Amino acid sequence: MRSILFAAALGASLPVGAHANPFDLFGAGARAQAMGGAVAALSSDYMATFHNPAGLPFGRNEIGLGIVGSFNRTSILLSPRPSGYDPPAYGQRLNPRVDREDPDGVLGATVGLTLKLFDDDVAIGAAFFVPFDGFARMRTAFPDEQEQYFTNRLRFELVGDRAAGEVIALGLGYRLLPWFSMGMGLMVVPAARTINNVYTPNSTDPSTSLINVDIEQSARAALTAGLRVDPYDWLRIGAAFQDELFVGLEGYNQVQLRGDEDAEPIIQPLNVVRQYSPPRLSGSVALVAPNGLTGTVEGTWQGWSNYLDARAELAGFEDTYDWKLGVEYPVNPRTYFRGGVGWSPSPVPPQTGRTNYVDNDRVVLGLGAGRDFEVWGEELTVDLAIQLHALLVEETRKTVRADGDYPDCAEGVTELCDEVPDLAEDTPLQRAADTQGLQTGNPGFPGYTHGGYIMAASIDVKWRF
Amino acid sequence: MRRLLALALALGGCSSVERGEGLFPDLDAAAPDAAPPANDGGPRVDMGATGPLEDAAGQWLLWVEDRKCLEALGTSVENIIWSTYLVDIAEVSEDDLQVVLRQHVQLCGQELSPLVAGLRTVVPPAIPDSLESHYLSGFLLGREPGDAYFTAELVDLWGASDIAPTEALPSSVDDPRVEDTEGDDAPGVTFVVVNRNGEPACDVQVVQRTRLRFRGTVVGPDRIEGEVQSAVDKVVLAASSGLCSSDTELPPSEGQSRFVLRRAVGAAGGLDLDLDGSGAIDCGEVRDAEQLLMQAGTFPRATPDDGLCR
Repeated sequence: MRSILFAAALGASLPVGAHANPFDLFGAGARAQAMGGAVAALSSDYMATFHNPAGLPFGRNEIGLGIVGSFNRTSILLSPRPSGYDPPAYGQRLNPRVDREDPDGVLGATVGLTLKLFDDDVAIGAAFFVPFDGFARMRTAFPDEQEQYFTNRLRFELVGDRAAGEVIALGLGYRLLPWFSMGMGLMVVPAARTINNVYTPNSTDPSTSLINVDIEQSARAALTAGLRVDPYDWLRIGAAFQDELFVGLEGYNQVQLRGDEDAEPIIQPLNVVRQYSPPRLSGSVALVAPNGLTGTVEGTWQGWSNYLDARAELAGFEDTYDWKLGVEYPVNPRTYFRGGVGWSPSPVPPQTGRTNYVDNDRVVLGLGAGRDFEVWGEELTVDLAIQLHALLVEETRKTVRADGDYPDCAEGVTELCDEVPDLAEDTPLQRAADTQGLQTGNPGFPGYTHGGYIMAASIDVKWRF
Repeated sequence: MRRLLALALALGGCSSVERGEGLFPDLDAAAPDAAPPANDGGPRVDMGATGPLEDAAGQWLLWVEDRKCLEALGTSVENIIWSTYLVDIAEVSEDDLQVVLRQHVQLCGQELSPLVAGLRTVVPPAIPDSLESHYLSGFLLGREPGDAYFTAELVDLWGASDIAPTEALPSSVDDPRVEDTEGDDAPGVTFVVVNRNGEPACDVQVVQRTRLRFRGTVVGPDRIEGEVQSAVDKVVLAASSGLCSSDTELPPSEGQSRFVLRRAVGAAGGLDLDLDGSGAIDCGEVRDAEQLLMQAGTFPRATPDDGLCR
């Protein structure tokens, strides 16, 4: 009953929150996407607020508008459930256990500007991403057998929703020397606190619950910082750091039941985390040939071991090192071709136990072009990019215990667990024979195969003045 | 090497996601659509024979569907009580007008329909196991199909003793008439309220009295069926949660309460629940055969209709 009330209350109390942002997944801006994201030593437009704010003074005053979209051709195909493992009433779940195929993509707009302050060596920048399909949206899911009572499906933990959340990147860059600059900034995402008071006049009919909602929207920010060194015309070095960042929903439901007034109100705490971006440190080196041909390599450490899942619990991920290579070639003084490749290993360890965090190693390919135009005496730049993320197919199989002795599902248990504890003798409610062995409705049981690809495309138009 | 191969396949667009196989073996040997097993000496059911009821003596199964309205926490829902009794019938006398039956009645089990949101009251088997059996007079006004059958009043008192059929039930655990019927160290009898998954939500201790009168007709040599007049009084002594301390009034719903009396040992066809071949059946055998009886539609259950209570 209480879970029913919780669901009713929660359903009425979640207008706030967010998916993740596309900058983390695809890179910020068409130029970065085309070059596989390897731009920490090159970025000098307003997207430097994300990649390396120290690059801002190397650019010009500008405003820009862009569109970024992706379509998702990823799949999670569930292995057939063997017979004899169903928990009680397994066939009566709200949703059947089904595959996840071709989840929604994302479509949204980027807006940004760079302004020089005081002189040519100080610049501020801002970049925004706003999805078209709804602002401040949040979806949560349990990573284990508890999800059987909800969607009863699996989902990609890091590449599904991560491309769909709004984000604001702010930065300030200061060029101390002609060849050295530093910068810092903030990445800002939404946050919220909610307290929901629920009174249920009829405990046997939760649809009659009376709900008062108290929601306070706020924001959560993470520090960004960077260095940019251009010691020679042909060499550029960049280093950038971003602290961890996530969208949070905190609060609680306070539930009163008619007929149970003598008891204290039921408190249902809410602590939801989405759009977790780990702390990351990037180092990048770019070489620029006299003809403008530029090649860059970038390595990024990401502290995924701090990853918090939707229930604000450490998921046990591992830190990773991403590698990216990018190239930019000016075919004439106003036109550029760009390409890039990246390798992004999954931080998720093999999911052979209780949880079903689905993620894949990814190969990233980028391709794009840019052209400068002169409009009313000012420079207008149009950049195009497409980016392919190939999720290398992987099969996950839950571990079979040779002794058949699976632990009971409880807090802290990480192995595949038994939802119906084995009874030694019959009770008034259960026959002992019905409880023996493993019973699980874990949607990831006995395994699943996952992979596919995500294709992103973007266009940016920037007016420099 | 495998990664390089996977990478090459991915880059070439040749890699596709194909469903895998888990490592867990099937535990149920029979396929889901397998035919039911042949009768190998287990319980047997059929739709019953036709013809007169030549001799009522023997063991019968009395199935009662009692439809009540439950007023709980501001709403009215229909709550159906399905009770299964084992009845030993002896013919005491017979004249031109009637056959007098002496019926030894033992409750074997009781189930209640779910309420809204899947909550359901469970009567643990320990309760019927600890109840005393009753003798109930019955009357047949003939042996042919369509001839009338009726009984005296069956009074089933749970959780207390020494209370007249129309006397008010005790409402305090300190009342000396209240007793721990099933020996669970709680006064009265203990019902458990479970959720949709069968997990306990709360429990309640009550004193309950059920009065039943049966009026029906002979259908065949192994079957009598008809209507039930019932009255149920209940007093809540204690509950682990306010959810369980529902009102005590259980007025009848507009749905028809009914009974079916089926011969339980197959002397004249019909059911044969004598699992151990002893020639007699007990409540354990009745409970073991319950699933089969349900599947065979021997006692088709009505679906609760809350609209009949509003």
